[in-house]
Amino acid sequence: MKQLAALLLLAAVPAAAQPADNPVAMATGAHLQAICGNQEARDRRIICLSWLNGAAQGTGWFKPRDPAQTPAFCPPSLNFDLAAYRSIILAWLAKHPADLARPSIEVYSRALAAAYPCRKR
Amino acid sequence: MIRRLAPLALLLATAAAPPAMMDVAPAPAASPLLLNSADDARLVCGERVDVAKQLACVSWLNGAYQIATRYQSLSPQLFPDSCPPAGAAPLGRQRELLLAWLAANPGERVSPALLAYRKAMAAAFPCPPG
Repeated sequence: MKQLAALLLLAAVPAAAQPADNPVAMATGAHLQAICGNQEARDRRIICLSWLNGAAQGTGWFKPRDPAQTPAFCPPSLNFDLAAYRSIILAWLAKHPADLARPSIEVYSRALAAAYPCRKR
Repeated sequence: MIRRLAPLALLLATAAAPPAMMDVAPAPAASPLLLNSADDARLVCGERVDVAKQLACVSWLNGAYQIATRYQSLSPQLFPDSCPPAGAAPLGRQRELLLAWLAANPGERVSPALLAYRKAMAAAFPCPPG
């Protein structure tokens, strides 16, 4: 698996020094689209769903430091569905191609906040 | 943290060769690749051969780390924040820290994997007071 070699190489390199064009870094919206949009390659499915799993496990336990960049989202249940999250993010990127250049965690937050807005108190 | 990980479970269930005889299909949630518990993290992130586990570990760490950089804990005692200096926490280093923390805290193996990760990172990279 070429993806493994690339990912393990990235694992040893500080995030700031990681090459911006390697989608396994999952650093941008374009990476999310390239990895999560490919359902044929098993290694990419693992990378996509595991990244989403790592990001989503703390849902409800954390708040955004900068809601303008990473808005809060309020899913109807913490019994979340990673495939649904993946579909929401891919659909968001299809409608917002400018977000391909955004950091992936911003895309993740913006897409899910649009799908699951929090009620204003 | 109740979670529904059917797609990941289904995907990862195909990673291992099936046993020669199996009367009952194993519950997908039992797969350590879901990284539900700290012990799952120990098994998956400690893997040195299985490619699927290595990919799952590093990608899971990547997602959890990116959240940690942009989100703040609402319950710092349970899920402490960490403040690694720039460039000090590549994913390989995070994996080492997590495994070392789990080895030093075997009683935490039944805890959620994310809790172990947050505590391991906070122990290595505590945030300044205030």
